[in-house]
Amino acid sequence: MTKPALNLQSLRFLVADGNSYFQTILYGILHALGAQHIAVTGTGDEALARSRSDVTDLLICDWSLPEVDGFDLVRRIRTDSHNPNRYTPVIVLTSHAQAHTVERARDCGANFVLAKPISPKLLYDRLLWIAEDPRPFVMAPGGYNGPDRRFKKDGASSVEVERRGRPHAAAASPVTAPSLGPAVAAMTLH
Amino acid sequence: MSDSQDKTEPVAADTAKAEVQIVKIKSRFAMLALRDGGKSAAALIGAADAFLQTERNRYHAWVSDALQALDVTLDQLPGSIPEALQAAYGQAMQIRDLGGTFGAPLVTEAADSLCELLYRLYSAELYSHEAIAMHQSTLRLICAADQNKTTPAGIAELLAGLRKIVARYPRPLPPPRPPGQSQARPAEASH
Repeated sequence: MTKPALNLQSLRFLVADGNSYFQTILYGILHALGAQHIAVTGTGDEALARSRSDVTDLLICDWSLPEVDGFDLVRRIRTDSHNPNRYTPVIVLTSHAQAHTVERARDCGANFVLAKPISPKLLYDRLLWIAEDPRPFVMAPGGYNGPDRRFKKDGASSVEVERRGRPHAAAASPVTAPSLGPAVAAMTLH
Repeated sequence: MSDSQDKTEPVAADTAKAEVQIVKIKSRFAMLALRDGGKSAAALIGAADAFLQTERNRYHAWVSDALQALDVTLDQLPGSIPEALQAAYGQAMQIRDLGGTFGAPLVTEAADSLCELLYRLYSAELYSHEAIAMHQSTLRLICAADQNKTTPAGIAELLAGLRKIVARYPRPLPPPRPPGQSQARPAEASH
């Protein structure tokens, strides 16, 4: 089946990753996928400041950002009623696809956690998933703020993820054993 | 205010938790990303793959720099072994992850082995310069060959050798897991 075409031209992206070379790569992939407005930052602090001052349509951040980590960044954005990006979709990238990492990403309010390495196809699939994601937003004062964690949709979990050089099927639920990233595919948040 | 907030509407309220709000939100991303005018998925993914191909030489240079940075990190020894191993683990993960993005499975495998080694050394509070250096040499060899679009001779044996080196160090057993938690890797230990 042909995938729907994404039109990212007028959308504003914010990429936050502590590795400057990975920033370049992610910027290049997004640009090749059609994005024209991509802001890049290397620290959680700066990403947070940008989220307060600029409207972003999608935030992609690494979980292990310096200063403010990715989970804390998302949590702060989600719980700040004055933040213009409170409801902005967020993808958290991680090198650790262990259960507790995925759970932390889910519980901080991210829409998706994506295990590195990423590939253009994988990123495209996840962007598509978010574009089609109908999940409502939950706001619990003092508690969880983010996309509804209770959802059923046969989306990314059924997508065959072909990691570069290492084909793996996407996992629909968090892994339970300690693992080193590439052996585990992208995690959907339930 | 974000455009996304313009599309909110309450959909449910749990009477037991009246303060919890659940709102339907169609984000600007969702509204605009599926507009007409986009190129086909195949064309876009193909363009992104082509971008990665053009980056390949710089990627090799980056791996070389990353391995040098790893040397610097480990040269901080002695006195800070856990910290150095933790930092080295983070650097090795970056090499492994970008190897996956660039479709370099041998780099990924050797770097994955290095990650596992560093994890085991960290967990056992050990250090082995030789074991780490062997991984670094193998990674340099693989990268040099990859630049010439070749595969190093005897790579299968080299990788098997790395696995044997790693196997010398015990894989730590995960501690009893309290609800909602599991053992953290070195890079996560500080969080």
